[in-house]
Amino acid sequence: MNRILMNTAMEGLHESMLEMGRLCERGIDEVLSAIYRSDKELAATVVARDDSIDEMERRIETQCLSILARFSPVANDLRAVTAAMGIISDLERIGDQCADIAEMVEHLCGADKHIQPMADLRLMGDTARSMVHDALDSYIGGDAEKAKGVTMRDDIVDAALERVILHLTNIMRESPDAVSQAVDMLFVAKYFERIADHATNIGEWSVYLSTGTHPLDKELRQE
Amino acid sequence: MTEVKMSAKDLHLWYGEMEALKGVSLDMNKNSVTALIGPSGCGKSTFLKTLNRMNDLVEGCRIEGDVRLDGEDIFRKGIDLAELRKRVGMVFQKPNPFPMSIYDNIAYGPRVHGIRKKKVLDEIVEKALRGAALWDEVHDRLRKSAMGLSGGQQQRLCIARVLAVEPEVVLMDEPTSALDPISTQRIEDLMAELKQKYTIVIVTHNMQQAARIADRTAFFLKGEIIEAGDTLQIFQQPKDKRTEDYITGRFG
Repeated sequence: MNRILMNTAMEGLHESMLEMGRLCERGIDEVLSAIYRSDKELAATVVARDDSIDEMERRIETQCLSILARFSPVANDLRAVTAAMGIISDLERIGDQCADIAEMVEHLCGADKHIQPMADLRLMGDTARSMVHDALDSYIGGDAEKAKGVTMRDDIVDAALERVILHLTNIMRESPDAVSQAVDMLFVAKYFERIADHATNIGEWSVYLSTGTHPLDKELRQE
Repeated sequence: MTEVKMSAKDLHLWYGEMEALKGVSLDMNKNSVTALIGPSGCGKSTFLKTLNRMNDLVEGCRIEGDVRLDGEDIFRKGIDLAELRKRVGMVFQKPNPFPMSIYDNIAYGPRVHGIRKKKVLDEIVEKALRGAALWDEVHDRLRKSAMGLSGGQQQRLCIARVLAVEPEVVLMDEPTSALDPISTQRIEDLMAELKQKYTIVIVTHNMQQAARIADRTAFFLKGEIIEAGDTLQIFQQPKDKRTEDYITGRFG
């Protein structure tokens, strides 16, 4: 294998992945702002961006296949490409979920606004965004410790979701008018929780890259 | 069931003052392909040649340690070297057919071992050529010179020549490095078949070849085995940083 050409191809792959990651992070940030500021235009931007994220996924797939075909990578190199293919499918799902949230902004922020977005929702969104960032960073830098930090933060998001659910349940009991928006808000919170799950997956791919073992494998073996 | 066919334990080998093997230990399993990889001068070919004592012919060569075939010491006093090399055959990097007919190339070994009857020799020649996947291409010109065959055919002829004396272990020293991709593929297919009956040990510089054909792979560096294990493990998740660096092209 020609190491110089291989390194160049891997750098290109990493750049594309970072760009895709940035698009996803921006999506999470903007959809959060859209909810808090009742900004429908911003929400529309997020929906539109999903196409670019899908496009990036296809481009990166092509890069991965080209590396496999040209260099027949092994060991660490092979794991890096395998992990990249897994990671971009998680990023693509994150893009989808941002768009799904954005599509509900209009209903949530209609003339009759029954529900104020709660602080826990922002906590979920911000945490999920930072998880995506760090998970991708840990993959690029081959830093498994950082990836473990990502996995730990998933618990913060899960706990916040439970509080949001409790809060929204109470609202629904007290004011039937708010039920329809409360249900949407439940979905929003659930989507943020899913985004954090995808970030956790990315972190697990990063652990796989460094150690050669997917953390899920271990858990499955313990069962 | 894995059964160890040949094993080396703490094998040291010196060419004069130079220690070419520094305490190498390796098990080679029956009915499997063991690949030896590593940069030039790492000792892998030296190790291979030790397995049928071809190094005895090198002046100034001194060997310590233990090599066993079916549990028997191949350095023991009174061992019949011709018999050992019949049981442990060798195929070299460059096809080296004898300048005689295809038939005589194959019959050479059996004749040396005392077989004279034409009918028996005919059978051996056909069986060996079929075993080396060459019969269909040459059966109508067995009396023609082997020198007229293509490089890939010549190499399969050399494999057939080894098979004709019914070996148990086949050693191959970069058997495809002088061949084109199609011939290489033929030899690789052949190895997959041969391992059903024989134990194969191959030295290769082509790491993808090791990844494709070997059940186990040993990585040599400066006269030592750095890492040996299942081929998949070596190529997916090597344990030693030096193995990783070598197979991913970071040195060597």
